[in-house]
Amino acid sequence: MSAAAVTSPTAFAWRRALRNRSAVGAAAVIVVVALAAIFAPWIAPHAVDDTDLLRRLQPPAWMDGGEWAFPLGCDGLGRDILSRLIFGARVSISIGLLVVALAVGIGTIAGLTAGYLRGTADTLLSRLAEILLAFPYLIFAVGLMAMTGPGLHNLVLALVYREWVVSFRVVRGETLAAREIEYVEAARALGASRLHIMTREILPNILSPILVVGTVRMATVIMLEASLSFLGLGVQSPTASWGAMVADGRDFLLDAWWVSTIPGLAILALVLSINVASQGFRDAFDPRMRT
Amino acid sequence: MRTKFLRALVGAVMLGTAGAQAAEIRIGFTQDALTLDPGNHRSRETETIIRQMYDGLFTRNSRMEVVPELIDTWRQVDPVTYEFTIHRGVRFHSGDELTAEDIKFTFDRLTQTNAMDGQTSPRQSLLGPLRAVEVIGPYAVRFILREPWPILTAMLPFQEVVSRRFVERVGTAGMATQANGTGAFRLVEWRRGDSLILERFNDYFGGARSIPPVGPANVDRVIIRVIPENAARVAALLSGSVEIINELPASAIRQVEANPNTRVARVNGTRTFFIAFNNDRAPFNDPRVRRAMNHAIDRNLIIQRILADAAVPLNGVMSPDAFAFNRDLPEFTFDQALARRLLAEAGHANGFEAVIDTQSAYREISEAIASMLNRVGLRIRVQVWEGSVLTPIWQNAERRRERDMFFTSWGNGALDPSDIMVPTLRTGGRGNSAGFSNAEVDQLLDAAETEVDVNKRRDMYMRAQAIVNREAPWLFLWLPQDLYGVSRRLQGWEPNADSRINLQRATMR
Repeated sequence: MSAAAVTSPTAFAWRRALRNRSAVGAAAVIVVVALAAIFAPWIAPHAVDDTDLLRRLQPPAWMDGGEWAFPLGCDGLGRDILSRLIFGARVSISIGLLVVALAVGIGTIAGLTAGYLRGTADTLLSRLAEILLAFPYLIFAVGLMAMTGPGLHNLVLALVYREWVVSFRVVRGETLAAREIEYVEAARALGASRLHIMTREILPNILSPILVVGTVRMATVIMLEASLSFLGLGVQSPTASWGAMVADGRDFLLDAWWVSTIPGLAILALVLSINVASQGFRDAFDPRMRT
Repeated sequence: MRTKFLRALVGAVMLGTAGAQAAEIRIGFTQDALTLDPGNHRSRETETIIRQMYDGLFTRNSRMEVVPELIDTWRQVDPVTYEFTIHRGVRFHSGDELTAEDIKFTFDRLTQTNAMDGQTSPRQSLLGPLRAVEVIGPYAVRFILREPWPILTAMLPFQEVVSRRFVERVGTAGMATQANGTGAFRLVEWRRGDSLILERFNDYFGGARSIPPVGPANVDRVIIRVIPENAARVAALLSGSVEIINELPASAIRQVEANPNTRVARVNGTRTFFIAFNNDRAPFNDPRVRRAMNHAIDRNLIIQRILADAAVPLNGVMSPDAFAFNRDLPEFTFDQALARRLLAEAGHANGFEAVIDTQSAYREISEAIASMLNRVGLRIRVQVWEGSVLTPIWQNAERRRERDMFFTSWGNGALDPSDIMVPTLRTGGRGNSAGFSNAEVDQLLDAAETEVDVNKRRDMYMRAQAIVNREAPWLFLWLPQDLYGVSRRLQGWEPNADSRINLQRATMR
């Protein structure tokens, strides 16, 4: 076999991933949404709070009474739905990333500690996790938001407050398995400190399940953010959020379906794309799936 | 017991066969009654339901004038004494005749401390300075007040007369679930949280003599179905499964009017909406700023676009239907240039930042107002709160110190300034969230409270309204209409501003 024919596992995985059309399509959707979020001020045709009651519930451009200046129509206060959608992407994406980053960070530290040290630390953290899991998540978050008041910071906190448990449990399980494997024993025999073993030996070896959990949970977090915003507990108006946009339109559902339906479809598209893409890439990069 | 059960059973069966022979009217209603005891609640919806089965000494006609109902004749002996004679031969649903003893019992139960089996009626304060009721004949009573109270008759439509014998038999606990009134309909069954079934009371005395036709109800049955969800209530009307719905959402007006079998019925409500400025806090302590902001909003556009034309713009406190409404108040025209000029005069040419505190139900309207205020250079933002958190903050002078503006409303069921101006605009009033304090207004309100001469009283309130308009302690908004969806098969019924749904004279086609 010549050197040119040798394929590195990563390149091989990339090739597999690119063959998975639905995963590529989903990734494209995510990229578009992310770009829209980043460049929102430059690409949005109107300001997010540009109100004009004379445009109230104006239909999308392709319907009677619509105009191309407001391609997706206007909401109950006459604000351009496309522009709000673009700005709303910022909230969804940034909250998704922020919450997942914080939750995975906390969950990883806690999971490594509990899984490697065992004993009291494990008991305390595991019981805490079980207590948090025993509450229905949404009700838990609603209660927390009701106590702390609505707003971006509190929303992130309410979501992280329990979200870390998911990665905690994964990391703890992986750590429990890894600590008995020879490379860890070897490091211990060489006199490596606990911190070194946890961060330098175990962590790099369990990174891939952590990343998988992170991406899958990102979709859930975006859904939860939309749900809380729908309930009026999330980001406060006039900042646009997809969940709040769905809520804004629910009174006009029969008269002006576009106000709720368009942001609803946006949530659907983003969440579905994240799920499909993360599934596709996980399959592609999973060594056990190699054919 | 047995007949009652049978009646309930028949009622239930008839429900299923929906008015094949018997005429019935079904109401899709937002809330169930909290209790059936007329003396033990402070809820408008509960009162609307109870009013089907009970009568008052007075009621209101469709022009909102107070007219005698159970009362036959009455006179005011002096500023603190009234004498009422009731109709003879009025029967309770139990068959007992209504006498002066029942009237005295009813009002003692409402006004005396611990009169309801150790509990004091939550409706006590609605009867102000009523001190005692004396029986002066089998059908005659005397009401004695602690001090002159010109709105006594305007407040009496809110109280329903109960049977002394019945209350003494079932007790306050029994009154919560049973009904024995003199009303046009009697209770068949109350399925809590679901529906209330009523049937015609054949021995009804006929109702207010001045509102023809007088006599028992036309329809055989009334069913009040509890449908809290707006969309479900509208759907029930459109599908013909109810004949009347209350609180028709403005967004559904078009649908109800487009349906050939339904129509929209409107009546001016009694609730004044406004945004209270925190009058103690800069920059709202400057009347020029408050007036400027009143000129910066286009009330008519909001009413037309968001409230579907179902509101009357206000330049003051009072409903146009109320006693002593001042028709000559200067109007706050929508004039952005004037608003900017007034702001500049007050030293705010560059605007300022402020927050409108509101509740989620009024978020959209509050945002529309904020965006209009921002057009004249202000930077106004809306903050949505939980009502139970927000109201106590604004009712406490200390706690509202850091707040700017409060989107709120005040009901005026009596349609009399005493019931709205005193609480919201008198110094220290329990609803004076603006912290408005004006010596002249206080003096006028205090004097009017005990003034018996109707014309002098009217004049005082007119002057007080003019001062309030000039000082603009609020961002004046509007008085919404109450909207009902009504089936075209229903004849002879129009809504009342006091939310009463009087079906005695209604018929089904």
